[in-house]
Parts: sequence; structure tokens; C-alpha cells
Amino acid sequence: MTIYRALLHRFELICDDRLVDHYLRLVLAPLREATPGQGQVTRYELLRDDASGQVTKLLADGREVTEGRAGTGPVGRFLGHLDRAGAEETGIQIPVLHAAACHRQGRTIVVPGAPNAGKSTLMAHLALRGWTYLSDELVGIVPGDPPTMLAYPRAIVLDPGSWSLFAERTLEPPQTLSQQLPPRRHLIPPADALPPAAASYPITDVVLYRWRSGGSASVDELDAVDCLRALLGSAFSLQRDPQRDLDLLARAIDGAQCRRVSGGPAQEVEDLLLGAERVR
Amino acid sequence: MSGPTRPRRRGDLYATTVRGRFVVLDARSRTLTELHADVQDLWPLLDGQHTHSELADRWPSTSGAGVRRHRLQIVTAVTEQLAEAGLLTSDDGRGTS
Repeated sequence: MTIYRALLHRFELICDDRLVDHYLRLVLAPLREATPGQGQVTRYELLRDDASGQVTKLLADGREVTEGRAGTGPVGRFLGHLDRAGAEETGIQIPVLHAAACHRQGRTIVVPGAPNAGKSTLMAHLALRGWTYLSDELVGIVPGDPPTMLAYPRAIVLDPGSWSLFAERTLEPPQTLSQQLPPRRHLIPPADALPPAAASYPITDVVLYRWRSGGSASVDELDAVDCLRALLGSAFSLQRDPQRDLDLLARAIDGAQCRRVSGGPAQEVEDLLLGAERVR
Repeated sequence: MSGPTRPRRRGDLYATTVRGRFVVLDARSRTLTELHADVQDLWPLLDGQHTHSELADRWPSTSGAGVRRHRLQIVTAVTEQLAEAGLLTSDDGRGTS
């Protein structure tokens, strides 16, 4: 049985619909546990109703999962549930941020999660341009000096507006799932863009990113306290242990560059991210 | 003198420093307030056990402030500002702002 990992949430999947199973194995491939880990494994089951020919039920350790985004079926609920379970289970041990992240040339960049800022599209561009892709949704912050990143390199989730940019790369779900999933497509990062199992990623940059159509990309230095506000605003785990999250995120900022980047063509944004030392 | 006689910081606030700057978090409202760096040394003393006079004696930032009355004025002004910012509790445990 293949074990997958959403941050510290370990799970396996059983799906009795062949097409859906094949699709989900592709989507989950970046989360496969490379080396056997420790801890509890949640067993998810997606069950098919023979009469309708549809997957109609999601179970987690034998209990039905019904909560999830309105208008999505069990498969959409399953993918959403992984994010929530990953955040909740991991948040017990370490801070968890709603953020994207990537790494290249010794820089590990955290992009806290303003909704619809274009984080996933930016991560897709960077993953296809030689960056190591760490997440488009959630990261864990591991205590250390400096703090390091726990990656969640799930398949990148793209809204319809970005599909044409990556037409060859996005994964189209099987027809039977059209009513089951929100209008989003997955981009599977190339194998060489995925983080090696034992790699450690000290946080070097925090970037507030906002996509902007037209014009050039721009970068501004970001005040450290404003940067901390942005990270705290993205912290799923803040209510669980406020002092822990506050201290660790402040330590992360102590050793990081904090910037606000607006883009702009992806190539320009990438240049700004890599050439950031010029702005300080 | 206005404000609590023995100032007490709210128990639901969390403090840290970021790049040497002192900040206080209200996790419930996700509000982060930056305070003057000198207040960092005063913050742990605001435990409801110390009078303004005692704070003036124990807070290092007032040590160069000359006569005792002047030090007391500084402490009083600072604690009033903290109270106005809603960072201190009244005797019944509620915020003072």
C-alpha cells in the first residue's frame, strides 16, 4: 500500500473506481512518502455506487466525511479534506501557514496566502523553470536557527484563468468526475522540481506577492512588523498556540528578507526573486 | 493619577521581538501592536503586583530620568498609553480601553 503525506498527516487511499483511482494516483504522486515514516496512517476510502456508476461516498478510517466545499462530490471533498487534515494534524506540533513556497540557489521563499493573488500560477511557472517547488497552499515552519520549511508539494491547483498558460501540463479529470470537482485543474510538478526527502530549507525570504496584468514587475522592501502581520494572518495554527507561532515566525523574519512583489511577466518576477539582494 | 494603581497586562496577549522591535499580539483579533522597545523591560513587571512607584524603581528605562518624581511621571504616562491601547486589564479582568 502506498503511503502519502500531507505535511505530517500520513494517509493511504482505497478507491474502487478504476478511472478515478488512476486520476487520483497521478494527483497524489508528489505526496508519496519516499522513505517509511512513523505515526498513524489515516485510511481514506472512496466508494463507488454500482447503480449510478459514480463515486458516492468518502470514508476516513471508516467514518463518512461529509463536510467540504459546496457543490463538490466525495472526490472534491477528499482533496479538500487532505489540506484541512494536514493543517490540523501538523498544527499540533509546529506552526502551519497558508502559503506557497519554492527554493532555488540557496534561497527558500515563502509567499503568504492572500486569496487570488496568483500564488499557484507563480509556483507553476517557477516549478517549470528549474525551481524546487515546495507548496502552493500550506507549509509547516520547523523550529531551528534559522527556522526551516516543511514542504507540502501537492499537485499545483490552477483556476480556469491560468489553464491556457499551462495547457500541455494540466491534468484533465475523467468525465465521470466533472460534477465532483470544483472548476480547477492540477498541474503535476516535474519530478526534478520536487524536494528530495531529506532536504532542509532554511527560510531566507518572505514575499507578499500580487499578480498584476500589464506593466513591469516591481519590488519594495517590506517592514519587518508588517511582514510578521502578514505571516500571522496566514497562520492556521495561531489559535492553538499563539506564543509558539508568534515567536517562531518572528525568528523566521529575523533572518529573512521581506519584500512586496507585484508582477508582471513571470520571467521578471523570477528575476526579482533571485536578484533580491539588490533591493535591500 | 489615572488608570489602574497596580497595572496588569492582559493575560490573553503574547509578546515577542522581531528584529529588535517589541510587538504584542492579540491572537483572537489577530492584531499586532508595536510598542516602544523600552517597554519590553516593563512588560513582565505589569503583573498587577507593582505600584507605579515600584515600577519606576525597577524599570531600567527610567534609571537615567533624574529625580524620582520625573521617573514616576514617565511610568504613569506609559501605562496610561498601554491602557488606552487596550493592553491592560482593570481589576475585574476586563480590558481598560
